[in-house]
This record gives sequence, structure tokens and C-alpha cells, in this order.
Amino acid sequence: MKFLQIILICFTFAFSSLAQDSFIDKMNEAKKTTKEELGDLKFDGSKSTYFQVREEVSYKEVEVAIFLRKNYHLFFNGNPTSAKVTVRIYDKPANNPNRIMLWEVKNISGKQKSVSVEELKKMYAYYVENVDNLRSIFVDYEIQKGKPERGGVVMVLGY
Amino acid sequence: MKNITKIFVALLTTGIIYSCNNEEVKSEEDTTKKKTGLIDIDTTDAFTSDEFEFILPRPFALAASFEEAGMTYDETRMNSLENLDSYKTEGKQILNFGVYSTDLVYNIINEQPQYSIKYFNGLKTLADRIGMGRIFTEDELALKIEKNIADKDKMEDLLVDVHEASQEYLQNNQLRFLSIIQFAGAWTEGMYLASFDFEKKDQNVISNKIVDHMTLLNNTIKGIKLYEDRDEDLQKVLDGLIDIQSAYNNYESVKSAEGMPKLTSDEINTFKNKIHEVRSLIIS
Repeated sequence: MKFLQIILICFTFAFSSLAQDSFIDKMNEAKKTTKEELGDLKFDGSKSTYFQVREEVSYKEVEVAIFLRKNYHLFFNGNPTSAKVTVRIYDKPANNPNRIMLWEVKNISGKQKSVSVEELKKMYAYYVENVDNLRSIFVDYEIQKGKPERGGVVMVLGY
Repeated sequence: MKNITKIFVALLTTGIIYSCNNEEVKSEEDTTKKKTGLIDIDTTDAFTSDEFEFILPRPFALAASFEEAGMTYDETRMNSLENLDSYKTEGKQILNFGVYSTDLVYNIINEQPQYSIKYFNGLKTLADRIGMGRIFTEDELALKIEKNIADKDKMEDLLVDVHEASQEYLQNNQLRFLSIIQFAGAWTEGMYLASFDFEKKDQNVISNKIVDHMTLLNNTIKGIKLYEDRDEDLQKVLDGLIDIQSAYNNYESVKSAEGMPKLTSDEINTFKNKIHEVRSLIIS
């Protein structure tokens, strides 16, 4: 019986490696598709955010330095996730209570969305006088609770 | 019962064969790592991103941010390729992979094909030592680069592929934490090359650039701190970067700023000296 248990554990481990590799392939495929969406824009980087759907709401944050190029365009691909994920872009990090939300997509799952820094600055101009002080933006992913599973969102930068 | 056992054994064997094929090269690298005890990485949750991350800019984007401030070319400023063989620890090799990446871009944007090819070959050598040599063989990337080395625009695209391939390699091999070390080297070299003739340039422009780049420095420090078992070389570099950050935060113009700080010439000069110190640590 003990032998069977050991084999079962080993099998689960081997199977989860297979599942992990196929999920990475899914994320890489999403990145490839999103890069194709750039059109005339030049690719300038990407960030694949991996998460585990949990029984409670969880968050991930990615900072993007926007001062390096004149007008970044951000492309999001939520195809690799079936969980409900809200994407929000802020001017400041999550620990700052005075931060301003500049953009939101309620559920990116199975969708592709994009926004430019110019659009974000237009929104920012409603709140502050000098929009040029916006040097970094903070992309927050709010992962809704659900049945435990792997998920991910790909963000691609173009200019 | 015997049949069930047989099925499990068969499935397990299939799983192991798959894992072995997939991990062939990796296990060799892992053994080397265990032997040398260099950078110890916690990979238990490597495929769940941290709660906070940031996009690592490419060396081309770093260089572009300084182009408008004017960055003159001088080949003696780059890290000499003669130093390549002196980098024995993984920390030094990865840091200098970043340094040489920036030097390569510096050559390309200044249209120096002879130096570009030399630095590209140096980069390839380091990539082999780190275990990332395969990134140049995929899609015949190395051949394409050698063929287009004098074409600035094509090279920019090809170096995007190199950057992506190296990031994917680190990600897929559960080594994504190493990319921040590579970036630390690239960032320091970029700041170092840009820092020459600071005094002859528009001080407002230079001040704005430094202020902008502090965001990248802060995140780099956060990233390197994630290593609990940093080797001595990396610890020294981290201390140096923290020293730059502390000095900056204590500048009068930063402490008193309401919006974007305007650094004084003295502050810019102190900043420059500190960058030079950290760069010496990395390349020595």
C-alpha cells in the first residue's frame, strides 16, 4: 500500500510538471499573439504575470516606467486565464491611499485590450495640473476568488 | 491490484522520461550550481509572480532615454573584453552579461560595427558560461546578428529577440529572479556611459534623467534583495546601489522638492562618482 502511495505522489508530481509546461506554452502563445497586435508600433518589452486562483481575492502589481519612450501603448492578453481578473492602472503603488485610477477593464479573461499612455495622461489631467510628472504607472490585477487553478495575464509594451 | 500498480509504474515512467528530456541541460547546470554554491534561488513558487514586479527595460530603451542628453562615443569607456575571463562567479558573470549588453548597444547606436561584433562575441561567450548559449542558436539568431551588425535598425530588432530569448530562458528555467541581476549590470553601465561630460550638458535635462532613473534603481534594489543567499560580489554591488539610493534621498533638493526635484551641480557630481564606484565593483 505504501508503495502505491509513493507511486501516486510521484505520478502527481510528474503530471503537474507536464501541466506547468503546457501552461507556460499557453502564456508564450499569448505573448506571441499580443506582439502581432502591435501593428506599426515597435515592441519594447513584456511582462507575463502568473498567479494561482485562490479561495479569496488576491492582487498582483506591475510597475511600468513610462519615461523611457514618448508614448507607450500597453496591450493586455487575458486568454491564458479563465478566472475573472480586473485590470486597473494607477498613478501610484497600492500602498498609497491617494492614488488615482486611470483605466480599468472589469474582466480581462479571454480578452485582449489596449491603452496608450497618452490616453492615461488625458485622464490624469482631470486630477493634476502637470501630467508630465507621471513617470511610472502601476498595473494592478485583481484576481477574483474561485476554484484553485493556474492563471496568467500577458502585458506587452509598444511605442 | 497488480494491474493498477503496473499502470501507475508505466505512467510514472512516462512522466520521468518526459521530465528527463526536458530537464537534461538544466540538471547539468543545477549540479554545477550545487558544486559551486553560488546564487541560491528559491524556486518553490517560481511560477507564481510576486505581488509586486516591474518591467525590466531593454538596454536599447535605457540608451534611448539618454540620447537626447547627448552621449558621446569613446571605446575606452566600455568594459574591456580582456576582463571576460576574470569573471568566475555566477553573480559576476550575470552582472557583466548586463554590462556587455549595454556596451553592445552603445557600439550599435554609435555605428561602430567592428566593436559591435567584438562585444557581441564577448556576450555570446558569457552566455555560454551562464548556460544561456542556446538563445543565440535558436532561429539562427547569432548568424542574423553577424550579418546585420552594421545596420542599426535591424540590430535593434534583433537585440529585442536576444532580450526576449534571454528573459524567456530565465523564465522557463525557473531562474527569472536572475534577470534583475543582469539588469543591475546593464543599468549601471548605461548610467556610467551617460555620466561622462555631465558638467558640459544641460543640468536640467541631466537632473530630470537622474530623477527618472531612480525609479529603476529602487526596483533593482528591491529585486536583488529577494536573494537571501547572495554571494559576496553581489552583496557588495547591492551595498553600492543602496549607497547611491541613500545619497540621492538625502540630497537637499530631493528632500525639499514638492514636484520633480532639480538636482544641483554638486549633487549631480556626487551621483556620478557613486555610479563610477559601483561600476568598478561590477567589472573588477
